[in-house]
Amino acid sequence: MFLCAIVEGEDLQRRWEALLDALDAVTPTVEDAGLGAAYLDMHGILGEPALWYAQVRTALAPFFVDVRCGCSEDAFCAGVAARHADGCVVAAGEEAAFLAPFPLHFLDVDPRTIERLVLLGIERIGELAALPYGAFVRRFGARAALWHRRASGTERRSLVPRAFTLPIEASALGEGEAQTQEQLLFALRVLLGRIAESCARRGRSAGGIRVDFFCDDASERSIELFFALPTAEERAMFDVLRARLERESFEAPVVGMRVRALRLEEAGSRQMLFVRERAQRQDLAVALARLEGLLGEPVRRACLRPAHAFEERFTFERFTPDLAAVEDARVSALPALPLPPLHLIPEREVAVEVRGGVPVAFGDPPSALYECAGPWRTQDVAREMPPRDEYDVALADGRWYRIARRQTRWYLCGVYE
Amino acid sequence: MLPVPDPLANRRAAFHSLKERLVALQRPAPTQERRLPCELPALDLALGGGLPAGLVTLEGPASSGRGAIAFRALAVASRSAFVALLDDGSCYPPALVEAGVLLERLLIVPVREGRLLARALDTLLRSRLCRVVVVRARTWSAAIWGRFSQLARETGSTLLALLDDGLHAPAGLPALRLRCRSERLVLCGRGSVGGAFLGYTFSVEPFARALRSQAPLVLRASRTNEDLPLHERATRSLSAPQRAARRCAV
Repeated sequence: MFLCAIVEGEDLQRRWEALLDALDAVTPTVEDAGLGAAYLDMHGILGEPALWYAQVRTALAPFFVDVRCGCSEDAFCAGVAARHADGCVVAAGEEAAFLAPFPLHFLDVDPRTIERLVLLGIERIGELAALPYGAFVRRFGARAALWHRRASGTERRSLVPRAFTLPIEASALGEGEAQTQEQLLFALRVLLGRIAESCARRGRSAGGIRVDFFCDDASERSIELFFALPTAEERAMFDVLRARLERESFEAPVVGMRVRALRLEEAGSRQMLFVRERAQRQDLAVALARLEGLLGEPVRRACLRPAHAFEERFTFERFTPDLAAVEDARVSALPALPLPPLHLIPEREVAVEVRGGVPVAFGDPPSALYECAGPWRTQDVAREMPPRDEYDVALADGRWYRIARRQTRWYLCGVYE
Repeated sequence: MLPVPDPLANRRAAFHSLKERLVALQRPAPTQERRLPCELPALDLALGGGLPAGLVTLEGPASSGRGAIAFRALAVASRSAFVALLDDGSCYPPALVEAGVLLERLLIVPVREGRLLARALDTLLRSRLCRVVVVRARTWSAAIWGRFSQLARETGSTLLALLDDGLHAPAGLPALRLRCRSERLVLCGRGSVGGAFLGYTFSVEPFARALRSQAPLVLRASRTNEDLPLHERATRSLSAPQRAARRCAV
């Protein structure tokens, strides 16, 4: 038996993962069917639908949301039952009869196909189920097979369980106490280094961190903060955290700390040459953290919403620098650069002669550089590469190259057309 | 002997151009030339293009047009940069949207304590993030005014300080002082009683050393355009869907 739970409530987007976690208390197999819908596999779970419904409501009670449930041997049928009426149970073998009076859009059929079917006199799921399977699929394509199976109540698919992610966290407990700011920041930096290392090793980047402080007088304090961009860089995390902690004071020495990465995302850093956008976002995140530490509440962004009363026509939410909003006026005001295309090539080590920290000759035998521009600090987090400095160099014969320095070695990594 | 043309001259010139642009990216834009237009043509013309970077005070009683000018500046700046508003609880976002402010680029900093206001303003200016910062000023010492003025000038931001009657920034610190005064209300209908409020006309007197005229220059800017026909003026007080419906009806 499958159970479908349709959830409605405020701020569902932010709480959806927590809601799904809560449903794990009902059954170990929960499928995320998109925002507001979840399928639960109840095979082997003790009880009957009424008891399961009660368990679902109990699990979701702390979230203050409206829940509608439906049960059936077929997952799709359970979803329709939940949307049809709360507590609806479709007995085994009666799926087709139950689905028959519902309109076609329940099958996720695209509107254009629905128009074609209506022209053929097919407006209900039951009428579609009555069509011959082979001819219908030949006429409407491969997707029609799924529609027909669903309409007949014979889809019988298995649920796709949610992918669980192991938390990335680091802690220091029972390793002494921090009485000064320097000690505290040093310990935090060590923990953030471990977090950054774990993120890089798993190919993840963190959108925020949560830091729990345990003090000597048994008090605890938690701080959650979010970065401008998901990152796996220790320095970026530390800058924001240090700004947030500027106004914090502790009554007793800190004897334990735990740092946990939040909002884990797939890693992969965009390397944007000639654009300061990334640095700008980091500056913004640091300033926001500093203001939050000063004021005790986050900087806000206003959002409009339709309402009758004047005072209800807007809400405030936490200010987060999203992609659309961040744009550096100084950069965007510049006209497009007439840059020649840069061909990235497999890196190979080259000999570079440096004078005063600046490349002056390049290659073997060495050719004098006519010009050199740079350096630009880049870092490939996805491949766990350390940061490096890149230069654009022009040879006297007019050729341009992109070279990079990593520690004491130089590499040729690109050629301009 | 004729000079031999350099076949690589064009490429070298292009490389120089590229290098200059890259260096320019890392260099803060010159502050003295940045002017922020308010899109009030008469005011922009008198100010030589718009509001200068640095401290700009908007003086006058409540409902005298200070907010209208500040919101205009926020709207223009928010198209290309972040802007900030230090909110003492009186912020009404629908009015900001009506003025054209992009809310996704507006940092609303909730500050209700006077002690924190100066600190928050200092943090905002030092972060160099916001092109325009609007604050309802309190009674500050000359040293604090001087610090804000210097920070705003150095960072190239325009700090718009709204001053109630009786409050003044120390002389010489503001890059520009605008004194606002309401002239008259504009209503639509038979009389004042029961007429629909369309807007108001206010006058602005700018005082700045850079202005050529020594005498205060009186400008008139209006939220309404009286040259519009009456039915057009009447529709300005309606919401966007209502305006669309009215147009369809006409």
